[in-house]
Amino acid sequence: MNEKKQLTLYVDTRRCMGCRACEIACKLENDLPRGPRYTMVTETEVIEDGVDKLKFLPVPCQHCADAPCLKACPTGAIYKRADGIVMVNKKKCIGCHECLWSCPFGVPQYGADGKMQKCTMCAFRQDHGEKPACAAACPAEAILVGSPEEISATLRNRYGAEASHTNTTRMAGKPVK
Amino acid sequence: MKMICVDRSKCNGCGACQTICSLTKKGSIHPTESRMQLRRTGGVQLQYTTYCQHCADPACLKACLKTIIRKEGELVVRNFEGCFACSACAVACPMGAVVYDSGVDAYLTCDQCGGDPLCVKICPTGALSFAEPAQSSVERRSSYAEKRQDPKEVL
Amino acid sequence: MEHMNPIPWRKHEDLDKYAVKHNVPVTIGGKVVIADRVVKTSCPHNCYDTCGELVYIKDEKVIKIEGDPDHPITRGHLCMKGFANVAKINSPDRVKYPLLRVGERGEGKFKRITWDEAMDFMVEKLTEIREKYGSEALTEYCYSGNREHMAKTVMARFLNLYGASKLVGSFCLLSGAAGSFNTVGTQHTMMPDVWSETAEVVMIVGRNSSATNPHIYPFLYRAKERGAKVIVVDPYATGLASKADLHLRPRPGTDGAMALGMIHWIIKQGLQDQEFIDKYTYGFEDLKKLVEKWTPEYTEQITTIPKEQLIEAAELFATHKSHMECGYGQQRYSNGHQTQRALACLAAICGRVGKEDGNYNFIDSMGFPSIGENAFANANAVAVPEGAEIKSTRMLNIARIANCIHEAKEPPIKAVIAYRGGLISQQGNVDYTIEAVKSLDLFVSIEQFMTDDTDYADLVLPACHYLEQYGLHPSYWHHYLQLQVPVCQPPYECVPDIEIFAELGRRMGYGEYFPEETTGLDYIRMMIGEHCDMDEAVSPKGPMRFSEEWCPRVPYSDYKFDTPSGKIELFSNMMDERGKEFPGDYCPVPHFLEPDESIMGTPELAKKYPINVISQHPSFRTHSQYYNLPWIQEVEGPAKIYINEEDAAQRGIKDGDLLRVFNDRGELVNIVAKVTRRVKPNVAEMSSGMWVKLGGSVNKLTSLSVGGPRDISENGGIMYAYHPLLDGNTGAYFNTLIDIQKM
Repeated sequence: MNEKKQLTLYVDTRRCMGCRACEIACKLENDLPRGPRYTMVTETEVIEDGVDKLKFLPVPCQHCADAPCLKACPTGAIYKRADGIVMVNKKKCIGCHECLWSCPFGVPQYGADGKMQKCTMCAFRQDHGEKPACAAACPAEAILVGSPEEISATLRNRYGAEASHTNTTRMAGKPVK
Repeated sequence: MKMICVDRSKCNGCGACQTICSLTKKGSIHPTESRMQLRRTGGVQLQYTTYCQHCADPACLKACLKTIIRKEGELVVRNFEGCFACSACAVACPMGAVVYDSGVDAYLTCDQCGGDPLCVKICPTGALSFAEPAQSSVERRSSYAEKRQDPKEVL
Repeated sequence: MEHMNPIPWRKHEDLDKYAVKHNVPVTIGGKVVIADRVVKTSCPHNCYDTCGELVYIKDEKVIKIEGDPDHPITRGHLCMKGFANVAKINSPDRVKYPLLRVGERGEGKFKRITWDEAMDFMVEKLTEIREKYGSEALTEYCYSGNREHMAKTVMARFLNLYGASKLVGSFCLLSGAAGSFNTVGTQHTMMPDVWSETAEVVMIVGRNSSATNPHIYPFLYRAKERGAKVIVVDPYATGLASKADLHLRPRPGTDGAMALGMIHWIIKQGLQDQEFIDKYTYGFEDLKKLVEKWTPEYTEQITTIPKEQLIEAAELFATHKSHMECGYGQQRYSNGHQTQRALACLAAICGRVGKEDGNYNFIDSMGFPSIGENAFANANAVAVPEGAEIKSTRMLNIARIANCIHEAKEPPIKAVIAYRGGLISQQGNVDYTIEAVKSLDLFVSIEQFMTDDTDYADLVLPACHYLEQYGLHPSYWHHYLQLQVPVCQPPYECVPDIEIFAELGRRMGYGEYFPEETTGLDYIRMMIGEHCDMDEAVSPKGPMRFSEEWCPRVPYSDYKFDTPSGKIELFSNMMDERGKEFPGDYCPVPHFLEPDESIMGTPELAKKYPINVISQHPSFRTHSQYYNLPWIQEVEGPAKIYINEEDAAQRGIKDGDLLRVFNDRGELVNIVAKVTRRVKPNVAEMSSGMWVKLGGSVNKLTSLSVGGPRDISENGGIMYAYHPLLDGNTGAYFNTLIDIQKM
């Protein structure tokens, strides 16, 4: 009756402010040594309207609907769950790195055993009713997990009012009390 | 371990890597016996290169009838003097990275030129690099994030 | 992990009483593990957020940590360091046993000894030193590595009984605190859950919340989503500045000038809240006179902020319901006290003090009024034991501790017991500080890891992690208290700081003042038990909101300021008076002085060293802590310096090149160049807290210049009278000039 739909992990980049709590929360949750970084926060310098700014983008696995890594894997070690999470069966992985060369986001990591490991959207946590570790950790509450409808509702709640705000800059003359 | 890493979106199919490989290893330009092979698939799909990935669990090692393939640290190495060119490894390799070398009458693979691969140096577009996969992952993530800032760049 | 209790005098409490729940399942590495218990505590590192934490224990080992969702401000989230505590507390590199130096100071060669031997060594040395030089030859070095307040009072009890010199002051924020106190009196903050719902403009100065205050963001974004505009003042483009609607980038050390320029424009345009000024402030005419020369053009010349931007910021701030949040970066210069005075005056003339829709925040008094000078809460109840004869001793200003050690006479300083602070890694001018340490007869370092300090110690004692100790650390930003309790037994032979001090006290003959049964919680009760229902703040309970009396929801709304005039003092009577008695810059109006080293203020020096390096606190660590953890090193990467594109081009430097960074005080080598626009020309940024011995310490280049008002360069920083909120000081790390070149 309850069909498990693809869950989305959405990063609200308007909110991500580059604290990197998600990176270490992920390491802790997955009990990772130094080496594999399931999620990584990128930092890009931009000039926006003449102003120097930093833009942050955490890049965990996107769990693509049409995953290039899955198609590239020669042994079929990469598979997609019914709820859309892309997983690796380490027993089948031969550590050939094809997944890394085909992933546009550079997500696959390789552990000490040479086999591929990566973000699982905390499938194990989700199976136990918890949010992914990065989403729970984020102090800015920038990482949203849920169905597209749920995420859309949150975003509308956050930003929908923006369009209707009057311009609050300068009201010349008297101060506003 | 450092690997030859490839960014396929940058590969323009020039084949310089394939050329320099056989030139270096065999002393002559012999594309079909180059250990770095350029594959042209035609159409819109990119051309891509194949070369030994030094797999963690190599198919070639399991397939070899004479057990001359082994792992030395993270490198996959072979004792090619013992090879009797049965081609089992070439058939088993999912990347098509094993090539027959007529000079030694054996099947050979990329050995990273002992740690300083020429193909990487000659690649004109920077599609090839020599780095730890972890470093390559960091660079890919960063370069994706940069592209994403400029909407024109996103495919 | 061995859990031994071989030390007979160690307290062994049953910590199960702090459990919130037992047999709690947690997920780790894709498996479910049943934790024996989960405990509530909070983080006592020196940042605003002071997060509520839930710590999961199995077999007396910390296996996981999460934010406490019951905390109304930190809302169940932690920063990267919070999560890294699991790795830190379980690190195989922890100091496990007492170690006695066997090589030369600086070689880092030690042999393991027993606690008895360690205690005997300390007793012998301390007795010898007192006989030879006098009791004031001893002092402590303690700061905010674990910023909780209770252990320091227990050590103060020992030091008082011994007759040691007192360590006072701050080297991180008292200049700003003095500037702020001399304007509005007792310090209070208004919590973000108030202004996020009401403010129309939020101005944040000198703070990069991404690194040191990430929990502000849900509140800041709430304000933005309601339509509020955000102004950020910071010389460089940080994570927070990147979220601003308006980012002002003053030349380092000129935030005060910026404020004066804004005040000038606001008065010129008649945008000030004259009714508020007439009713609640004192000295407006003096301020008006001071800002006469600070035209937008002149301000632009001094601060390098384009005048159109300055005008926009001034008008935005003055004509809306604005809230000002001040960080501490703007006051980390020799003029820091006047900078903060100017910012406070700016808020005041716009009527932005005492309002629910926007207030003026610098730091909070943390729940308790000071009772007695230099005391937090009722610290003296612990520090000054009843019935004991305590002699009055000289005070050493921590902002100049190296100078004190070099220059103290009658008696000289010959012994330092260091804990909770990296003397060598965090004080300015590393080489000068190391020379000071080398001149000591005794340097004891109580540490969790083998750091820069331990390299120079005679005795290293195995310290506990904060999760293994009691603590009283209220936030200086929000008003919720969760007392720190030990969540698990310490491993190896690690001993909580207070137990070290108590045992040392007993062995030095002060047994009656260090009863064995007294726990950390008992000491905390002595400090605050009368003032609040502290049991509500002890796991399994908590967090507890401080009383409205000490932490009002809308501070200053009664418009009663504890200043001599009872008003907000734009002209500071307290500074005027104090300046008659003590040397320093006590100018009662917030005039602008160039910092001790600056491009415009010291042009001769700037010819040699044309780049001003600022050393901000990154998200990767708290000062020098966490730097050695593999997870953190991986995410941070190698020691780097951010330099401006033009400065790089002039020197033929490309991104990724290795640099030599240098000035007359020292040099660093092989620092990775990050060529960027996030710093303006003639400015560079290199994070503080990297270890000296790992080659990245910016303090090889910083000086011991301090923020005012008090001038403590006389007498080496040794004082006989001192009031922190009148006198200041702060380490002026950011007024440091350097140059860079390719290796």
